[in-house]
Amino acid sequence: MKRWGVVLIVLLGFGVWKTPVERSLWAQQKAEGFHAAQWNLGMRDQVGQMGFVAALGGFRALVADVLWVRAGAAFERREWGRLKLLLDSVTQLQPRSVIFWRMAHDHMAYDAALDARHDPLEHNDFVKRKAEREYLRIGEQFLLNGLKFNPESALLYECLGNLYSRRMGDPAKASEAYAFSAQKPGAMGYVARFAIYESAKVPGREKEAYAQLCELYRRGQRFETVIRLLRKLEAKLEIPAAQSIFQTANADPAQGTLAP
Amino acid sequence: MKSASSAHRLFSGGRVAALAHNTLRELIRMRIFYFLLLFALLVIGSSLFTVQFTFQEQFQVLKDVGLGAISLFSWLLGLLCTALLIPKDLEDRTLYTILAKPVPRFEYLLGKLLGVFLVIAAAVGLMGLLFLGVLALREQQVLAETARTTPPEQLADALRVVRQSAFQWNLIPGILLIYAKALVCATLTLLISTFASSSVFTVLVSVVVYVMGHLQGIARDYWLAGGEASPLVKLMVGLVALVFPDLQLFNVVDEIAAGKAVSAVLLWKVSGFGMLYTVIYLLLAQAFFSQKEL
Amino acid sequence: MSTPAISVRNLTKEFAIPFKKERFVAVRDLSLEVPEGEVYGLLGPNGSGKSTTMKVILGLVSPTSGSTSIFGWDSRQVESRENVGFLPENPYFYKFLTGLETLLFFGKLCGLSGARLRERAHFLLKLVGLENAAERRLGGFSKGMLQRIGMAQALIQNPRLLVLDEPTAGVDPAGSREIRDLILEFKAQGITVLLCSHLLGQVQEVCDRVGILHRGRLVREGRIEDLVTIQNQTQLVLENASPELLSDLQRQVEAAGARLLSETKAQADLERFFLQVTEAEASRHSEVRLSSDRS
Repeated sequence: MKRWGVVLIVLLGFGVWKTPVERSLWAQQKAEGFHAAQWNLGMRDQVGQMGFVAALGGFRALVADVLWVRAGAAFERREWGRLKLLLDSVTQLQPRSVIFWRMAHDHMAYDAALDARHDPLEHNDFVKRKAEREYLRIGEQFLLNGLKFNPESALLYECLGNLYSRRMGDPAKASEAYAFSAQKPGAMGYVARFAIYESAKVPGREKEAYAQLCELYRRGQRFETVIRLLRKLEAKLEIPAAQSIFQTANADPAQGTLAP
Repeated sequence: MKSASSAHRLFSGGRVAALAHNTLRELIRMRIFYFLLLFALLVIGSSLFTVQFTFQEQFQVLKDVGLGAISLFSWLLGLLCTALLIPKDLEDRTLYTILAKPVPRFEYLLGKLLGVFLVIAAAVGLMGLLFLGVLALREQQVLAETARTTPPEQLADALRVVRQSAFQWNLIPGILLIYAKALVCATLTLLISTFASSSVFTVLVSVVVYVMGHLQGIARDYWLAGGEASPLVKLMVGLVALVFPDLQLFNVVDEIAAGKAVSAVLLWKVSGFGMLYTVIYLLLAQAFFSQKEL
Repeated sequence: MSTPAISVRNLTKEFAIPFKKERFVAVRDLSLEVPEGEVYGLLGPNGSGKSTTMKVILGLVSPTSGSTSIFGWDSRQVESRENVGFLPENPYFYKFLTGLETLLFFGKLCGLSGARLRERAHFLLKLVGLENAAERRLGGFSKGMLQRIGMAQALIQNPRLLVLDEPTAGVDPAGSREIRDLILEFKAQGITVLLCSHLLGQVQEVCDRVGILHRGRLVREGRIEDLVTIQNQTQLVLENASPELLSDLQRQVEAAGARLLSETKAQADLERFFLQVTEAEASRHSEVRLSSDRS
């Protein structure tokens, strides 16, 4: 009995000592970006009892993967509502996985949205377009939430740019998103250009865009789109032929046109 | 007739090493080791067959399954090996023969525990090598596939994307922390076995402790945050926070699999803290074992 | 007055019985001393406290009250076991080790190492007749072989005291004789031996003194001759005595006021007879083989 007393005292004493150390380590880990998952009880419906315990026991990523497989099945059955719930859980369990956020957005903003637009069972066009916009918004939200946890992700910014540019018709936001992407490590080579292309479409920013495009041209990046936009902007800005970039820049015959 | 020429050494590394080596031999020859290892290897190997995903998803799943398998099996191995060690020696009476020699009881415990640590290291090492090997192999396959199907001007970018999602050096610290967690759990199991009455009891209590260790962080935050709750609840939650280790501190592999790197400072701190847990639990085990009636 | 090899002073050991208030008293106020160089036999029926006493002496169990010591070292201190070799009853060792590995393992636990340890291990294997089984796993050993490896392990560090618990239990007569010879050899070398055995005939042959335990108490103790010699009886063994001589003797005995208690043919020791027969057969067998090899 005395032995148990000594052991308990040591355990409790050690416990008192270790509590601030554990807190500090935990805080440091969170600051470095670990333990990003958020818990809520609603997740239990998705993952079940076993899944919840497994997620707690350090197999969070595996539970997320299992849900991901289920999401794939829901996608194939076009169960968009269930798919969204699963995608919510997956991204909550594994918020640092950029690909989950990206593909969640893909499923919503493209697959679900397009499916809603072409829904053969709905005859009211207005209703269809409203549903489509709703899914686009959900897709956008996935990207924005993903960026909260992964602010350095060039890919998510790029997807955001694509979404604004191709699906939501907002070149100002698209240009901004592409520009952010270009600044992040591992960005694709073309996003910087895309940012300029988009800003060329924004009313009031043509001059700025033109200047940037001229710079691209001078540096030898003479893609089809660059040339096309330059001509378009020169027409819009009423640039005289003598001052056209095509005249003033050193035309280097070795530079071919490349697909943008 | 001369007696043993060496004066008795208070602590002998040679004795501990002999016990550790013997434990290692014993555990490796136990069938359970092979069974668990085989299972783990199968699990890791089978994750090669997730072809319906994109390659990024495949790598993600491969890493999650691989690291999850290493985590689960290293814990299980440590648990089962340790839970069976002392009861087996007691039952077989080999403990009497050992302690009839000038071996302090603490050295016996330490030797056994170090043997278990070595076994877990061997298992983690093997599983880790297989896991990283499979990952590297798949990476090569995907790189070759990508090189074949991507137009040349996008090739550099495409290959970079593949490499980023496959093997990363930060996986190795993640595996090291998995090992550290397994060591802490094994030492806890040893502690429990010194006062438990049977192996089954030891295993059950160890599983409960494992679960509680993962909830300890939540308990601690709840307890320290104050708030409204009955004094009894607060007492219980406080006890959980004080008595159990925070095993979630070692659970960084999920983010590591997603590409996050753990800083060297953090790695050392967490490992060091893990070793501290181990030392305390070992000393408590000695407190029980030194008085145990054989 | 040199330190006694074993000193037990007022030893009492009680065990708690689960779910009951009273405690089981295994050893009750036991005191005994074994001087260095003596062979002491500890006897008693099952449950008399023999093994508990041994375990306390070896420091495996702590006394409820009283103390035990080995060469002056209290049994609870690890140092006391530097000079002790212990052969347990039903020796269990790690089944997966070979004979040699077992000796090397226990030798390392005693602080031996390197070439010296290996030499000693090989020497002991030869001494107990197991040099051919050095590379065999203990899982495949017979009971007799286990006893012998147990003996070898007990001797690994050249102890000054040997504690043997039923050393010849389950061993055939030839092996039994070898063990007995070994004990006598140890005695000649000055090693103290504490022997627990049920085989009272063997105890009588090797022990200098015995102690008899009953229900935890030492009820009798002393030198064998003192204990079992029947002072007022004399044994005569006569060779070629004629019946007339025998009746003549009987008359003289009765005239002197003594009594002739029994007159029987002397019997040879069955064990000696058995060994003679088996050894003769064994040598005849090898002669036959040698001659068939040559032819």
